[in-house]
Amino acid sequence: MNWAYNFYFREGPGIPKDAPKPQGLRLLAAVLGREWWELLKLNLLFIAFSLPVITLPAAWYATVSISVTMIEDRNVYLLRDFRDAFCSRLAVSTLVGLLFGASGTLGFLAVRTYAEAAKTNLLFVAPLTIAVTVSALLLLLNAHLFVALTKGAGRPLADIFMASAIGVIARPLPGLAALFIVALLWLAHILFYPASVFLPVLVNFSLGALVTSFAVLKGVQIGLSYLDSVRKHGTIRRPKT
Amino acid sequence: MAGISLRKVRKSFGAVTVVHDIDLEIADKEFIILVGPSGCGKSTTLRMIAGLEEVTSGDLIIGDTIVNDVPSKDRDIAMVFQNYALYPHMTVYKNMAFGLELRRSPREVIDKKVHEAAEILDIEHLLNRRPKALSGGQRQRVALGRAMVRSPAVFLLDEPLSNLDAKLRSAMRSQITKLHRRLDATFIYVTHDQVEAMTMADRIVVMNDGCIQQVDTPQMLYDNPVNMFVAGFIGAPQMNFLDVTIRKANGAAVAEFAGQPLPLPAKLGERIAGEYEGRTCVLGLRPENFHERTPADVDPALTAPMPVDVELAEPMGPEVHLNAMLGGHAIVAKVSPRCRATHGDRLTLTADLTAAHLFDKQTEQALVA
Repeated sequence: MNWAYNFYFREGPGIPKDAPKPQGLRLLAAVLGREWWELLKLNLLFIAFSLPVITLPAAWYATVSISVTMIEDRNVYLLRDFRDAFCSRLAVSTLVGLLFGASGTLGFLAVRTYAEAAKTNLLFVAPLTIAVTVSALLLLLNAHLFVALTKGAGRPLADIFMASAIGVIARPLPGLAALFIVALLWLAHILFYPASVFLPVLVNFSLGALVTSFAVLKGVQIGLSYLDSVRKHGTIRRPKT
Repeated sequence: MAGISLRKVRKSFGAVTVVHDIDLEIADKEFIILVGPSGCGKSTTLRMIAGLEEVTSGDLIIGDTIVNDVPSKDRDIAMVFQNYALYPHMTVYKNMAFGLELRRSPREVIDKKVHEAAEILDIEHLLNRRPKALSGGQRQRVALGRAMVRSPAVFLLDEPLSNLDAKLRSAMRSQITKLHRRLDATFIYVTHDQVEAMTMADRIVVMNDGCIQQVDTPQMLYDNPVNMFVAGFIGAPQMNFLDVTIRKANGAAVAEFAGQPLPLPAKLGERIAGEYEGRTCVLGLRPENFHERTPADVDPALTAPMPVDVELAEPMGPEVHLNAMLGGHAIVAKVSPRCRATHGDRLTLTADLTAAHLFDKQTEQALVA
């Protein structure tokens, strides 16, 4: 049993105070390495809180909120913080979720309709392209929105939307890359089913939330600070909420 | 107020008594160190104060209350253990906050206290890390922080630096001393390292075989040990003991060693002249009381040349420790780094007897002037 004792109690290398903070993908790897066990638990929490279905957006918001805390290297009391986040933005996140659900459904229907039409008439490739692009942007905006809700606590909803939109425009590629990774996660689940039956139960939601939050966080911060900056100098009118 | 009194406190495990009716008064906000060899009862005494061991007999008083039967959690104390005792599955933050959470302190209060303690101990960058990633020194600071956040009246530290390397131990010593000043609380610290005791304590309690040998300030312990145990325990390298016979020469008491009369300070001589004349006593000389030549500030009348056979010279940097034989006794002398003596050399050292100590051969008690 020495290995078990050593695993827990062996003296570590220490963490220098002035050690440079990892950036980019190294930071993501560091967060994953540090919080992998919490991510497993977070995934289960998300599933548990999503069971009534209508609470899915709030549960997703709470998952994103925890992910942002992990990325920012702050301490997480998983159950307590999840519950707090879930309750604090239950209404707003549900509203955002419903809006996204409705627009996402429209986007999906548009893409499917134009794709069917494009098979018979090439002229429909143009609206298909537009529908695909708009749907991807909606997906991206949604990813930004939940992170903006976390980072912009206390701000009006219009600010959250605006900051998210700015984030989408300022840094679309990391967000798209994150969405691609999430898609791969689900693709892996589908391809390797039933071997991958536990993948969604264990990591898909929490890892997806972490990766997308990590990718869009900077864009949201840019959006929020841009709003602050222009408002401070009076060059932009405060949007009505 | 968190003064602590131990009155005739005894601890027995079955038929074995490990702490014998000790009396000790610890003042509020004092930094007191229990020091002694392994098995002397110092940790047991600390654990009794902590409430981790029951007191077999006697009274243990914290403030104005006898706490013999008060549970540990209600004694307003915090303990730091030698092995840190951190929860490996918790982050540093959670380790530090755990005690307060058990007491159902408000979240904001916990957060404030944890961050304050982390700032003092310079471990803010570790708050979201687990103990597994931390070095020994960092773990030790976390353990201290965990004690600090509870703002106890008394800190109990059980050999907290034993697992650290020499360099880190030295750094942590000064950090703990500063912490004591800053927190203004009572510190009771157990160690077997007399350097720690000398450098950190307001007062030192020297223990041996479950008994308190002497309680005093570090310098007083060094200058005026009450017996051979304390004299030998405090000081590194330890005091040299030479068997001498007390004689009278020219009306003054001298200590005869290997046929050579060694002058004694007048007051000490007067104290022992009649009672001990002709008897064998133990002369205690600290290693720094041996010199290659008589220092200018020492009365030559209170020095004596001593021929020694060098067995080993240990260069320490600022000084050299000479392990030598003197009249059949093994002694250690601290001499200047310029000394080039090596194994087999014979040289004459000057013994400075102004700071000589005399002990009764039978009782081992000091013969104090």
